[in-house]
Amino acid sequence: MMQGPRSKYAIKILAALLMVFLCGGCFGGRETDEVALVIAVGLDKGKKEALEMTVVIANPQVFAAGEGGGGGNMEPFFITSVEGPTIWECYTLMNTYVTREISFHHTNAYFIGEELARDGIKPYLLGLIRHREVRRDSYMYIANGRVKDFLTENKPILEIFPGKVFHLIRILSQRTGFYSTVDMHQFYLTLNNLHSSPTLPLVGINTPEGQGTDKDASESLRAPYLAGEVPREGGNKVEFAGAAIFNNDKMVGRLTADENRTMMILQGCLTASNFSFSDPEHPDKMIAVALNQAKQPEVKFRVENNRLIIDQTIFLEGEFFSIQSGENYEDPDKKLVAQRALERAQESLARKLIQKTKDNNWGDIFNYDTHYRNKVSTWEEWEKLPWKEIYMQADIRVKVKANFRRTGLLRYTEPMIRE
Amino acid sequence: MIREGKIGFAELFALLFISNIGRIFLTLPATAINEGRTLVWAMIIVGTIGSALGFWIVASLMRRHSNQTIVEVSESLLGPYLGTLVNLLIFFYFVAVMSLLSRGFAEAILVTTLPRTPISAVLLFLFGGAMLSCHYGLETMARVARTSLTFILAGLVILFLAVVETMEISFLFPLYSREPSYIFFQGLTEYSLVSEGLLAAVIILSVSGGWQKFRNATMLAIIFGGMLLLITCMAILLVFGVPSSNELLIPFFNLSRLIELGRYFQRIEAIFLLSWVMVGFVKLAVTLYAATIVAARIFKAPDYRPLLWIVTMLCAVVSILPPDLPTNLYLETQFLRRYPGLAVTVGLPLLLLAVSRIRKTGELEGDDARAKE
Repeated sequence: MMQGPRSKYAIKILAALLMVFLCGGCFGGRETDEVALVIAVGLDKGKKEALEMTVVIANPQVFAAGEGGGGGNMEPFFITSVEGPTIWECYTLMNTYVTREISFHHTNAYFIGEELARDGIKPYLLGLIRHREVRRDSYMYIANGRVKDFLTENKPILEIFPGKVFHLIRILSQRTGFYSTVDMHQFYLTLNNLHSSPTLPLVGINTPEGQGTDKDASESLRAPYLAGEVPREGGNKVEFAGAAIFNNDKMVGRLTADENRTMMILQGCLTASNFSFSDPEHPDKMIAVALNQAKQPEVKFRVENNRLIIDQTIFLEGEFFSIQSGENYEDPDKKLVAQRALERAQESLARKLIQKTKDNNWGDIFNYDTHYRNKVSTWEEWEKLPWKEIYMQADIRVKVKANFRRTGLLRYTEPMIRE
Repeated sequence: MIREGKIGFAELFALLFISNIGRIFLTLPATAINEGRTLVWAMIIVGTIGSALGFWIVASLMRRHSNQTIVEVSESLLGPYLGTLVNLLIFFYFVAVMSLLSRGFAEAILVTTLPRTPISAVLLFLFGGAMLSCHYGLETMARVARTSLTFILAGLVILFLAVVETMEISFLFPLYSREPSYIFFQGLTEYSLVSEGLLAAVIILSVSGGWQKFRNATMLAIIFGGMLLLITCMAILLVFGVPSSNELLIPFFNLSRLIELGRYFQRIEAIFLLSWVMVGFVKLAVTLYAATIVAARIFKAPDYRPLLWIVTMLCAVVSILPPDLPTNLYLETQFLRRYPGLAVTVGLPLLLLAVSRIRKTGELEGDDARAKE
């Protein structure tokens, strides 16, 4: 073997040459102008093939326009669909005409059409989670109707970049509770690890004919709308509200916006929401409060007469936003009256929702089995646990404890001089 | 005499610790959760105690034979023929570790980041890096390990903290998921095997501070490595649950892909890939070094470097023998991590120790050495 300075010199030359090749990029390297970044993916049942895949692809020329490029009045994204037997066959077919190689690396939302969801989504989910480009922290949604129509009608007004729309809508879920955010990881985890029924948020297109104007929203804490039914005018046509219920991997039912909020409260994952309920002393007036979950719900199990009793206590806290009657609910004693009114209303909604899950044979959508797991002794017992049966027969008692800790910027409502 | 240079306590610890934690980045945590379910923590604890006991055998043997590596010890105890046979087994063990591990790392790189790169190119890169490190010697490797350790640990700590919010405590239940005897048996037979004890016995002459430093640094590396494996398995269990963890090929990578620190710090697994790559290169380099130095000592060569090309070539050829990734995983779990692996890492040192005690060889020199200390 060579020794001495010549050998060292040769090694240095070799290392430098190697760096030239390494810095040139790897075999699979793709320049940014060689890829088409898919922002959202939609899966529908195909007309001829098993699947129709719709993708929203970002148009980078629009962003280049702002920096002196040639974007002009181009659309910030375009939508294209193709039919095929699998997601990855559709992906390959798209590469026959998109000119750039499509990439799911930056996809942050996957939408599934209702018809496909009712047939079962596990075959497609397994196809997604195995692939390196798909991220498990991408969010999943179920579309009322076809995803293709939803993605086509999605015309964000405040945002140019469609990816930001899907990102911001996730954040808004934490402010309303009218739809949840469930990523692929959470959905697959519930499907694979738990006995309870997974849920996904609902999305839909709002049309004047489809609006739920006939629904009674005057009742306390109600917002009885599915996605596409919110009575409104103007804005983007698409909306996010409610939830789709799954038994195993098949969609079996839907929840309205307020039912979704109740579900989130019982699951212990509501971040914050505004609640409007009837004033207990002035039934024609409303009180609005902003609440969040003070701590995780307490869930206790006991058996009475061979029947499982689930005692759940919910803790809510927050502040007054509006007292229409001007009643002095800021007073500590009167505050209890308002709190009790909200507690009773929320307990009633929880009871109705639990009964609805039983009547429709949906099973446990509140993940009570995560609390029950530590009552089970062995793994075999857990695997064979007839949780749906136990849940259907269980007596579930929900108690809500609310505390309106703050009064907003007013500490007291002075009666008007003319009253 | 082969000039290997001298390394201190911290460098030896860093080298062996990094070598030990290479296993957390591949499939091992998933197979551990498959075996131990919610009791995986108990299985890893049993395995780590088993590893420490296994090393105790090596340490006891080396204490009786100062100024010798395990290669010379086996020759002096068993004679030139049987001793050489034992040393060849040690050599082939390191070759097998190097080959299967490099193939595993290469396949993991292909699956996660470089799908279109030929595996030969990735293997060339891995073997090239390992060979270059070996060429520069043990001192260089140990100092690189010592320097990298801070960054590797910082990366791991950030990762574990970042995934805390995705953990589900209920995944720890039901607690009684396996028979205790099964956990004990699996822990001892499948998760106690570490090659670092044998590795330390091969490089013991380079450790400044003698037998005690060798024993303390190696024991600490094995125990801390076991603790890190325990933390990794628990994090994966709490994030993915038992059934989903079982499915994962590289659970650590899946864990890092879930990190989302606010709106701007997303998709940051590339940072954690750096820790992964640092560990991988150090592990492969030190394993190749061990294989080469054992070969050099068997042939009583004055320098190990001329053998480096040959040993690297041998490892490279063996590494491409498994036809696919599942076969590589099968060979690793069924042969390297089970009885054949245990026979080399624990069985051979035990045999040598028994012979040493029966023949009462080494006692005098060991006592002399301790008296000098």
